[in-house]
Amino acid sequence: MIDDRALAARVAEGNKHAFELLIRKYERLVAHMVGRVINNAEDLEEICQDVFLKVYEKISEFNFQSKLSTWIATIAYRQAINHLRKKKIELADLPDDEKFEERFIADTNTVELIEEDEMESVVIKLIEKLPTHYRVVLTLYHLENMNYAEIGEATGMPEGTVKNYLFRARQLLKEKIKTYLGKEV
Amino acid sequence: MKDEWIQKQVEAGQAPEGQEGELYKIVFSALKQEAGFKLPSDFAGRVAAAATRPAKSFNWDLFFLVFGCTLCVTTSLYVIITSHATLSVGVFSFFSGYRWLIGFALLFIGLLNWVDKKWISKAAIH
Repeated sequence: MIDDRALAARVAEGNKHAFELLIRKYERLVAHMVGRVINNAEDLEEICQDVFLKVYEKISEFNFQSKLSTWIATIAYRQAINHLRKKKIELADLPDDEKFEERFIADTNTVELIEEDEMESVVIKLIEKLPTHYRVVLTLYHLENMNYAEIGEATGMPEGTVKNYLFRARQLLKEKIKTYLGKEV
Repeated sequence: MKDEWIQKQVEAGQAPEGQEGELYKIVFSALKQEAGFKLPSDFAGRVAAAATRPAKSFNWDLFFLVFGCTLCVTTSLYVIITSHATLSVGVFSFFSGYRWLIGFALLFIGLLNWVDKKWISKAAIH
Protein backbone atom coordinates (compact mmCIF):
# COMPACT_ATOMS: atom_id res chain seq x y z
CA MET A 1 0.00 0.00 0.00
CA ILE A 2 1.22 3.46 -0.91
CA ASP A 3 2.56 5.44 2.07
CA ASP A 4 1.17 8.79 3.16
CA ARG A 5 4.12 10.88 1.92
CA ALA A 6 3.96 9.46 -1.60
CA LEU A 7 0.18 9.70 -1.60
CA ALA A 8 0.21 13.34 -0.45
CA ALA A 9 2.84 14.21 -3.08
CA ARG A 10 0.72 12.70 -5.84
CA VAL A 11 -2.41 14.45 -4.59
CA ALA A 12 -0.51 17.76 -4.53
CA GLU A 13 0.32 17.16 -8.24
CA GLY A 14 -3.43 16.98 -8.92
CA ASN A 15 -3.67 13.21 -9.39
CA LYS A 16 -7.35 12.31 -9.17
CA HIS A 17 -6.78 8.61 -8.53
CA ALA A 18 -4.40 9.39 -5.65
CA PHE A 19 -6.90 11.78 -4.11
CA GLU A 20 -9.63 9.18 -4.35
CA LEU A 21 -7.32 6.73 -2.55
CA LEU A 22 -6.63 9.32 0.14
CA ILE A 23 -10.35 9.94 0.64
CA ARG A 24 -11.06 6.21 0.91
CA LYS A 25 -8.27 5.87 3.45
CA TYR A 26 -9.46 8.70 5.69
CA GLU A 27 -13.24 8.97 5.08
CA ARG A 28 -13.95 6.86 8.16
CA LEU A 29 -11.86 9.21 10.35
CA VAL A 30 -13.55 12.30 8.91
CA ALA A 31 -17.03 10.80 9.21
CA HIS A 32 -16.38 9.88 12.84
CA MET A 33 -14.98 13.28 13.71
CA VAL A 34 -17.67 15.30 11.95
CA GLY A 35 -20.42 12.90 13.04
CA ARG A 36 -19.51 13.39 16.68
CA VAL A 37 -19.74 17.20 16.44
CA ILE A 38 -22.70 17.61 14.08
CA ASN A 39 -26.01 16.02 15.00
CA ASN A 40 -27.83 16.99 11.82
CA ALA A 41 -27.51 14.07 9.38
CA GLU A 42 -28.40 16.27 6.40
CA ASP A 43 -25.32 18.44 6.88
CA LEU A 44 -22.85 15.64 7.57
CA GLU A 45 -22.02 14.59 4.02
CA GLU A 46 -21.67 18.17 2.85
CA ILE A 47 -19.26 19.00 5.69
CA CYS A 48 -17.23 15.84 5.00
CA GLN A 49 -16.99 16.91 1.36
CA ASP A 50 -15.82 20.40 2.41
CA VAL A 51 -13.18 18.79 4.63
CA PHE A 52 -11.69 16.83 1.74
CA LEU A 53 -11.85 19.79 -0.63
CA LYS A 54 -9.89 21.76 2.00
CA VAL A 55 -7.41 18.88 2.27
CA TYR A 56 -6.95 18.95 -1.51
CA GLU A 57 -6.47 22.72 -1.50
CA LYS A 58 -3.92 22.75 1.34
CA ILE A 59 -2.03 19.48 0.91
CA SER A 60 0.86 21.11 -0.95
CA GLU A 61 1.51 23.18 2.21
CA PHE A 62 1.49 20.15 4.51
CA ASN A 63 5.06 19.33 5.57
CA PHE A 64 4.54 16.18 7.68
CA GLN A 65 5.40 17.75 11.00
CA SER A 66 2.51 15.63 12.26
CA LYS A 67 0.85 12.49 10.91
CA LEU A 68 -1.39 12.99 7.87
CA SER A 69 -4.31 11.52 9.84
CA THR A 70 -3.85 14.08 12.64
CA TRP A 71 -3.74 16.94 10.13
CA ILE A 72 -6.91 15.71 8.40
CA ALA A 73 -8.62 15.26 11.78
CA THR A 74 -7.68 18.86 12.65
CA ILE A 75 -9.28 20.14 9.44
CA ALA A 76 -12.39 18.00 10.07
CA TYR A 77 -12.71 19.26 13.64
CA ARG A 78 -12.35 22.94 12.64
CA GLN A 79 -14.73 22.56 9.73
CA ALA A 80 -17.36 20.99 11.99
CA ILE A 81 -16.91 23.63 14.71
CA ASN A 82 -17.11 26.42 12.11
CA HIS A 83 -20.33 24.90 10.84
CA LEU A 84 -21.81 25.03 14.35
CA ARG A 85 -20.75 28.66 14.66
CA LYS A 86 -22.27 29.55 11.29
CA LYS A 87 -25.54 27.96 12.34
CA LYS A 88 -25.24 29.69 15.73
CA ILE A 89 -25.44 26.36 17.53
CA GLU A 90 -23.75 26.55 20.93
CA LEU A 91 -20.97 24.08 21.61
CA ALA A 92 -22.02 22.44 24.86
CA ASP A 93 -18.84 22.38 26.90
CA LEU A 94 -18.60 21.03 30.39
CA PRO A 95 -16.62 23.75 32.23
CA ASP A 96 -19.50 26.21 31.63
CA ASP A 97 -22.03 23.84 33.12
CA GLU A 98 -20.97 22.32 36.42
CA LYS A 99 -24.38 20.71 37.03
CA PHE A 100 -24.16 18.72 33.79
CA GLU A 101 -22.82 15.54 35.40
CA GLU A 102 -25.64 15.40 37.97
CA ARG A 103 -28.25 16.01 35.28
CA PHE A 104 -26.69 13.46 32.94
CA ILE A 105 -26.81 10.68 35.55
CA ALA A 106 -30.26 11.63 36.84
CA ASP A 107 -31.93 11.87 33.41
CA THR A 108 -33.92 8.69 32.77
CA ASN A 109 -35.43 9.56 29.40
CA THR A 110 -32.63 8.07 27.32
CA VAL A 111 -32.65 4.54 28.61
CA GLU A 112 -35.98 3.71 30.17
CA LEU A 113 -37.34 1.70 27.24
CA ILE A 114 -34.27 -0.44 26.59
CA GLU A 115 -33.76 -3.99 27.80
CA GLU A 116 -30.91 -4.86 30.12
CA ASP A 117 -29.24 -7.15 27.58
CA GLU A 118 -28.87 -4.21 25.22
CA MET A 119 -26.53 -2.28 27.49
CA GLU A 120 -24.03 -1.58 24.69
CA SER A 121 -26.77 0.07 22.64
CA VAL A 122 -27.66 2.10 25.71
CA VAL A 123 -24.07 3.30 26.07
CA ILE A 124 -23.96 4.24 22.38
CA LYS A 125 -27.10 6.32 22.85
CA LEU A 126 -25.64 7.89 25.97
CA ILE A 127 -22.48 8.92 24.12
CA GLU A 128 -24.66 11.09 21.87
CA LYS A 129 -25.93 12.90 24.98
CA LEU A 130 -22.43 13.83 26.14
CA PRO A 131 -20.94 17.29 25.49
CA THR A 132 -19.28 17.65 22.09
CA HIS A 133 -15.71 17.72 23.39
CA TYR A 134 -16.24 14.48 25.30
CA ARG A 135 -17.69 12.77 22.23
CA VAL A 136 -14.82 13.92 20.03
CA VAL A 137 -12.14 12.79 22.48
CA LEU A 138 -13.80 9.40 23.03
CA THR A 139 -14.13 8.83 19.28
CA LEU A 140 -10.57 9.76 18.38
CA TYR A 141 -9.15 7.66 21.19
CA HIS A 142 -11.28 4.53 20.98
CA LEU A 143 -12.23 4.38 17.30
CA GLU A 144 -9.27 6.07 15.63
CA ASN A 145 -6.63 4.87 18.11
CA MET A 146 -5.06 8.31 18.44
CA ASN A 147 -2.92 9.06 21.49
CA TYR A 148 -3.39 12.05 23.83
CA ALA A 149 -0.86 14.21 21.97
CA GLU A 150 -2.48 13.56 18.58
CA ILE A 151 -5.96 14.28 19.93
CA GLY A 152 -4.61 17.45 21.53
CA GLU A 153 -3.13 18.54 18.21
CA ALA A 154 -6.30 17.78 16.27
CA THR A 155 -8.62 19.59 18.68
CA GLY A 156 -6.38 22.29 20.10
CA MET A 157 -6.91 21.00 23.65
CA PRO A 158 -3.99 20.56 26.06
CA GLU A 159 -2.97 16.92 26.60
CA GLY A 160 -4.03 17.09 30.25
CA THR A 161 -7.51 18.21 29.24
CA VAL A 162 -7.79 15.38 26.71
CA LYS A 163 -6.81 12.85 29.38
CA ASN A 164 -9.22 14.37 31.89
CA TYR A 165 -12.14 14.50 29.44
CA LEU A 166 -11.51 10.88 28.45
CA PHE A 167 -11.49 9.72 32.06
CA ARG A 168 -14.55 11.75 33.08
CA ALA A 169 -16.57 10.75 30.03
CA ARG A 170 -15.99 7.03 30.66
CA GLN A 171 -16.72 7.50 34.36
CA LEU A 172 -19.95 9.33 33.54
CA LEU A 173 -21.07 6.55 31.22
CA LYS A 174 -20.26 3.93 33.85
CA GLU A 175 -22.12 5.86 36.58
CA LYS A 176 -25.09 6.30 34.28
CA ILE A 177 -25.48 2.61 33.49
CA LYS A 178 -24.91 1.77 37.17
CA THR A 179 -27.78 4.06 38.11
CA TYR A 180 -29.88 2.59 35.34
CA LEU A 181 -29.30 -0.95 36.48
CA GLY A 182 -30.03 0.12 40.04
CA LYS A 183 -27.04 -1.68 41.48
CA GLU A 184 -25.28 0.17 44.26
CA VAL A 185 -21.79 -0.83 45.31
CA MET B 1 -8.27 7.19 41.86
CA LYS B 2 -10.08 3.84 42.02
CA ASP B 3 -11.93 4.57 38.76
CA GLU B 4 -8.73 5.63 37.04
CA TRP B 5 -7.05 2.36 38.03
CA ILE B 6 -10.04 0.29 36.88
CA GLN B 7 -10.14 2.13 33.54
CA LYS B 8 -6.44 1.37 32.99
CA GLN B 9 -6.94 -2.29 33.88
CA VAL B 10 -9.94 -2.68 31.58
CA GLU B 11 -8.08 -0.98 28.75
CA ALA B 12 -5.19 -3.39 29.24
CA GLY B 13 -7.65 -6.29 28.98
CA GLN B 14 -7.37 -7.17 32.68
CA ALA B 15 -10.73 -6.03 34.02
CA PRO B 16 -10.85 -6.48 37.80
CA GLU B 17 -13.60 -8.68 39.21
CA GLY B 18 -16.69 -7.00 40.59
CA GLN B 19 -19.45 -4.74 39.40
CA GLU B 20 -17.30 -1.70 38.56
CA GLY B 21 -15.04 -3.78 36.32
CA GLU B 22 -18.03 -5.31 34.55
CA LEU B 23 -19.65 -1.92 33.99
CA TYR B 24 -16.44 -0.48 32.57
CA LYS B 25 -16.12 -3.51 30.28
CA ILE B 26 -19.55 -2.66 28.83
CA VAL B 27 -18.52 0.99 28.40
CA PHE B 28 -15.21 0.16 26.71
CA SER B 29 -16.84 -2.38 24.43
CA ALA B 30 -19.52 0.14 23.36
CA LEU B 31 -16.88 2.79 22.71
CA LYS B 32 -15.30 0.49 20.12
CA GLN B 33 -18.56 0.33 18.13
CA GLU B 34 -18.65 2.28 14.89
CA ALA B 35 -20.68 5.49 14.86
CA GLY B 36 -24.00 5.22 13.03
CA PHE B 37 -23.14 7.69 10.27
CA LYS B 38 -21.39 6.31 7.17
CA LEU B 39 -20.54 8.07 3.93
CA PRO B 40 -22.03 6.65 0.70
CA SER B 41 -19.85 4.24 -1.29
CA ASP B 42 -19.44 6.68 -4.20
CA PHE B 43 -18.39 9.56 -1.93
CA ALA B 44 -14.63 9.30 -2.64
CA GLY B 45 -15.13 9.19 -6.41
CA ARG B 46 -17.51 12.15 -6.46
CA VAL B 47 -15.34 14.38 -4.25
CA ALA B 48 -12.13 13.47 -6.10
CA ALA B 49 -13.80 14.25 -9.42
CA ALA B 50 -15.13 17.59 -8.12
CA ALA B 51 -11.76 18.62 -6.67
CA THR B 52 -9.66 17.71 -9.71
CA ARG B 53 -12.09 18.99 -12.34
CA PRO B 54 -10.23 21.54 -14.51
CA ALA B 55 -11.31 25.14 -14.06
CA LYS B 56 -13.67 26.41 -16.77
CA SER B 57 -11.71 28.10 -19.56
CA PHE B 58 -14.40 30.76 -19.94
CA ASN B 59 -16.81 31.85 -17.23
CA TRP B 60 -20.11 32.23 -19.10
CA ASP B 61 -22.00 33.10 -15.90
CA LEU B 62 -19.79 36.11 -15.31
CA PHE B 63 -19.98 37.04 -18.98
CA PHE B 64 -23.80 37.17 -18.96
CA LEU B 65 -23.84 39.08 -15.66
CA VAL B 66 -21.50 41.80 -16.97
CA PHE B 67 -23.26 41.88 -20.36
CA GLY B 68 -26.70 42.22 -18.70
CA CYS B 69 -25.57 44.99 -16.34
CA THR B 70 -23.89 46.91 -19.17
CA LEU B 71 -26.99 46.63 -21.37
CA CYS B 72 -29.22 47.80 -18.53
CA VAL B 73 -27.09 50.87 -17.73
CA THR B 74 -26.68 51.80 -21.41
CA THR B 75 -30.42 51.52 -22.09
CA SER B 76 -31.27 53.57 -19.01
CA LEU B 77 -28.84 56.33 -20.01
CA TYR B 78 -30.21 56.33 -23.57
CA VAL B 79 -33.81 56.67 -22.31
CA ILE B 80 -32.89 59.44 -19.84
CA ILE B 81 -31.04 61.42 -22.51
CA THR B 82 -33.54 60.99 -25.36
CA SER B 83 -36.62 61.69 -23.20
CA HIS B 84 -35.03 64.77 -21.58
CA ALA B 85 -36.03 63.35 -18.18
CA THR B 86 -35.71 65.63 -15.17
CA LEU B 87 -35.31 64.59 -11.57
CA SER B 88 -38.33 65.27 -9.35
CA VAL B 89 -40.07 63.76 -6.34
CA GLY B 90 -43.15 63.20 -8.53
CA VAL B 91 -45.61 60.72 -7.14
CA PHE B 92 -43.72 60.44 -3.87
CA SER B 93 -44.83 63.97 -2.87
CA PHE B 94 -48.14 62.26 -2.02
CA PHE B 95 -46.50 60.67 1.02
CA SER B 96 -45.59 64.01 2.63
CA GLY B 97 -49.18 64.35 3.90
CA TYR B 98 -48.95 61.02 5.75
CA ARG B 99 -45.49 61.30 7.24
CA TRP B 100 -46.58 60.32 10.79
CA LEU B 101 -48.53 57.32 9.56
CA ILE B 102 -45.64 56.15 7.39
CA GLY B 103 -43.19 56.75 10.24
CA PHE B 104 -45.35 54.68 12.58
CA ALA B 105 -45.71 51.88 10.00
CA LEU B 106 -41.94 51.66 9.49
CA LEU B 107 -41.32 51.71 13.24
CA PHE B 108 -43.96 49.04 13.84
CA ILE B 109 -42.60 46.73 11.14
CA GLY B 110 -39.08 47.24 12.49
CA LEU B 111 -40.27 46.44 16.02
CA LEU B 112 -42.05 43.28 14.82
CA ASN B 113 -38.88 42.10 13.07
CA TRP B 114 -36.81 42.80 16.18
CA VAL B 115 -39.21 40.90 18.43
CA ASP B 116 -39.27 37.99 15.97
CA LYS B 117 -35.48 37.82 15.76
CA LYS B 118 -34.88 38.32 19.46
CA TRP B 119 -37.60 36.15 21.01
CA ILE B 120 -39.82 34.20 18.64
CA SER B 121 -37.14 32.65 16.36
CA LYS B 122 -35.15 31.43 19.39
CA ALA B 123 -38.27 29.98 20.99
CA ALA B 124 -39.06 28.14 17.75
CA ILE B 125 -35.57 26.52 17.67
CA HIS B 126 -35.66 25.39 21.30
